[in-house]
Amino acid sequence: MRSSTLNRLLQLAGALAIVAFITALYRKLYPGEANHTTIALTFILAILAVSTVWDRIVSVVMSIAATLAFNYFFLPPTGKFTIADPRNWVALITFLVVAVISSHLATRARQKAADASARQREIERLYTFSRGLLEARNVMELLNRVPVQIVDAFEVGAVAMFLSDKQKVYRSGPVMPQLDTESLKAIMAREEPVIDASNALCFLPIRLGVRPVGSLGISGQILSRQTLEAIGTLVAIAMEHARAMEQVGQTEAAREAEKLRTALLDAVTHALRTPLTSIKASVTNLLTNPGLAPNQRQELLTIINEESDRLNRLVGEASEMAQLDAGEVELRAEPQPIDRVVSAALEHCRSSLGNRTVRVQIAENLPLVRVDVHRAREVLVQLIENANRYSPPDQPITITAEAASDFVVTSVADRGAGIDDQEQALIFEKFYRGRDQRYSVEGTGMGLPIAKAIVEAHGGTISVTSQRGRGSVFSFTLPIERGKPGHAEAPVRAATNP
Amino acid sequence: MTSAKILVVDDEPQIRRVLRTTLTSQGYTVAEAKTGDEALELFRDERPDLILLDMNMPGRSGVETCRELRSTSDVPIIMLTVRNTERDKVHALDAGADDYVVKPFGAEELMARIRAALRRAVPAEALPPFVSGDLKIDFEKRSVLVKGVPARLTPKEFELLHHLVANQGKAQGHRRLLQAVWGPDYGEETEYLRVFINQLRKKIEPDPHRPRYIHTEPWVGYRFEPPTEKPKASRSEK
Repeated sequence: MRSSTLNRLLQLAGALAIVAFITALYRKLYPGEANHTTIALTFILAILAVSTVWDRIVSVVMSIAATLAFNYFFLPPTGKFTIADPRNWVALITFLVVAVISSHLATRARQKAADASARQREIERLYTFSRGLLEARNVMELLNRVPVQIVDAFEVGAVAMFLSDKQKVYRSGPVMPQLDTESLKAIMAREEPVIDASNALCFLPIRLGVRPVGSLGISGQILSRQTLEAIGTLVAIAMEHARAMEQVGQTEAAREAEKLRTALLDAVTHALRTPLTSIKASVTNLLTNPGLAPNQRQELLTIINEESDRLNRLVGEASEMAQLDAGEVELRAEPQPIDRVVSAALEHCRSSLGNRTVRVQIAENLPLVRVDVHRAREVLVQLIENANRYSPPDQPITITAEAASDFVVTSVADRGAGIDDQEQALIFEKFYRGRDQRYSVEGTGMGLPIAKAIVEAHGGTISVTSQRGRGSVFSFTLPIERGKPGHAEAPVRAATNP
Repeated sequence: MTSAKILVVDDEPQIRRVLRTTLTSQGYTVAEAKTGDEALELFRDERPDLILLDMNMPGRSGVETCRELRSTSDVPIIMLTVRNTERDKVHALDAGADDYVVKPFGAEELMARIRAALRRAVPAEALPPFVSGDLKIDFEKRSVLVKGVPARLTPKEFELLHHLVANQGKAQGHRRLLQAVWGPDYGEETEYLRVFINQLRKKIEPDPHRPRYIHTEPWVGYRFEPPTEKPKASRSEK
């Protein structure tokens, strides 16, 4: 307040100084002989200039001062406020009117321009605000975002938003005692924004159609009524939009989950019925066909035995998968050299590998990895057995381990038939059974998904690169141990496969 | 003991093993295929008397393979599947399968189905040729002409038609038809009839949706009756 008065006084002094300067100029340069019209025009020009930048009062005062100076110094008789020639009265009055009107017009133009630019700024802010709201991906995020966005976009001090269905106030900026829950609740019943200019407070209801859903309180700056109404509408629309999007997303997710469940059920049915079919057909044949030759009986009994094992394995893997899925398996991760995992896996696979050549290439001085050796061994065993199963017995299998940034990468390479690009993406899916039953021979379709779940539980990744006819390389990463070796171990939880 | 040759098509090695042992123990000769493509190839070389075809195979599915086989042959085909839904059965029968067995199945059941499928209905009484309107059936030659053009009927379709014509004018119940054509173990599989009657109508009726020969007897079964209006006594073929 004080600074604006001071400012006005300074402007006034400046205006008077300009009048004095023009007067002095004409008196000094052309003493007594200057053209009255030139002098009057010079004054009006100066008044116009002043009125475009300074206050209206300043330009009016300046107009009067200029009239007086014009009369006193230039209109004969000079040095007096009297006017001898009546024509000069007309000139003087015309001068005064022109000066006042032009100053008034200039000020108004300036005011309009200022208004327009202020409105433009508000529109820009509203636009920024609406864009900010649209970025929210769900209702929760949106609700937290609204107050922040208002503070950011409109450069106000603090914002509080009350929502009736959640009975909760969302805030941004410093907590203002004026923006209390009671006031916010009271505003909901109103139809229009309430502006309290003396306290720099604005309140507005948020309405969906005619239904009030909440209210907003803004402190620190007075926004125009239109802007406030626009904010209320934008918030309501954004909330409705986010809610609709969320609902669509939920329906979509439910449908996806349903589809996955059906696919899983189908896969389980298939996976379980296949060994059951072999067993049932064998058993019924044994029961009803007395004419079976001894070798045929032997064959059927062997099949029953093998398929029972397969069923047992299937059930075991299904429950392990379920536990991994539910995150119920706790890793007993500790810093270990990767060699331990490799040797444990090779030990486990020794009998199935038979005479096959297995090359092991472990880089020297590998850092320790943070690993549950028992679980990681399962992963490697799965990869080695796959390689063994799907590549000719005379071809070697190569196991390598090397460091790559924060991980140790362990790979199993075979020279088998390889896997199609499109199939590569599927083999880590539950129950996926490869074309040409590459992955169904003795398989359950769960080995690789389990391996994937175990690796991911370690914070690593598993992948395959392969080319038809050239072989496949399965790799998995385990994080390098960064902390002190041997610190805090997770408690031991019963392992699924002891 | 029969010595019919059976082609077993299944992607599961263990199921092929069981079927091979079971079928050979019953005196059948067995050929095996792992995929639909292999089945089509083996079918040309081995000329089996019957095909056991798994419905859910990776790559070329059982249904596709069945359709492919049907386009060149009327060999009896029995579909094996793990799904026991009406839709799947109709799907399999529509593709041209003669029968359908749900896994897991007992050896006896499968053998009964195989015997039924292999059983060629030897016409007890040699029916005289049937001629009416555009339709001409020669039961001795097992040929059907529609507007002078031969219609290709599978053995089961032909048997069904044979039975209906032999009892023309009389409504034939579902169970009766099933037992006459598929064998004594059948009787509840009304969807078989639905599919086969549909196919028969497509092949011999001028307008399958408004049948002139094979009529549906609601809740009972089917009846064969040639159109009565303006029966042509004889006709000359072009």
